[in-house]
Amino acid sequence: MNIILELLSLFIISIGCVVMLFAALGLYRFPDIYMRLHSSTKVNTGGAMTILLGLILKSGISTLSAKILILILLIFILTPVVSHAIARSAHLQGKTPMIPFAIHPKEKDEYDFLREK
Amino acid sequence: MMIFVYVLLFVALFSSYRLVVGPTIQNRLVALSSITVIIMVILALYSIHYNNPFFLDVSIVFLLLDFIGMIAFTKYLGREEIK
Repeated sequence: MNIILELLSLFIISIGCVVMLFAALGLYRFPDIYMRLHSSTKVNTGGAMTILLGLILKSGISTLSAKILILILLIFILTPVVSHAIARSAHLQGKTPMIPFAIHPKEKDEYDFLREK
Repeated sequence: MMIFVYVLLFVALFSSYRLVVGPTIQNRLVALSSITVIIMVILALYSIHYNNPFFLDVSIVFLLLDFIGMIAFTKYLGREEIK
């Protein structure tokens, strides 16, 4: 039983490492700030939570796993908030999205106004 | 366990490319936040590997400091061009 838990935790941690590698690849490859946010932050959150879940399986029930549970909750709350704040600051500075149909039709005139300046 | 630490260090180095050559400040902030999450996971891996709860406290404080810094920086950036 112990060996099964150990192998399962190693498998889950390696899956999380591969997911975080994909997040870094998206941060390297995508052409626009919104696409980089879409690729990087969500995938990074998922990968970190997966790795910490594997660490909980490895350490069993102890104070260490309780602290890791707190860490999972903090990542789940705080990292999307940071992503939203960065996207909001880019939007307030007038950065247009690269794909034109990603702009809301009510805001189209505002973006044209910003582009002329 | 240590091979995961090396893989994650490679990932952090790979995403620090965007920190160096990112065209605007927002790209650099995305890269910095991503590197922070990766280093936090590395600290948790160390803490389980050496069975030492000290690194986990460092990791939680690191995440909270990253959150405060990012919020302050984006407040400052968003205020700049709005009238």
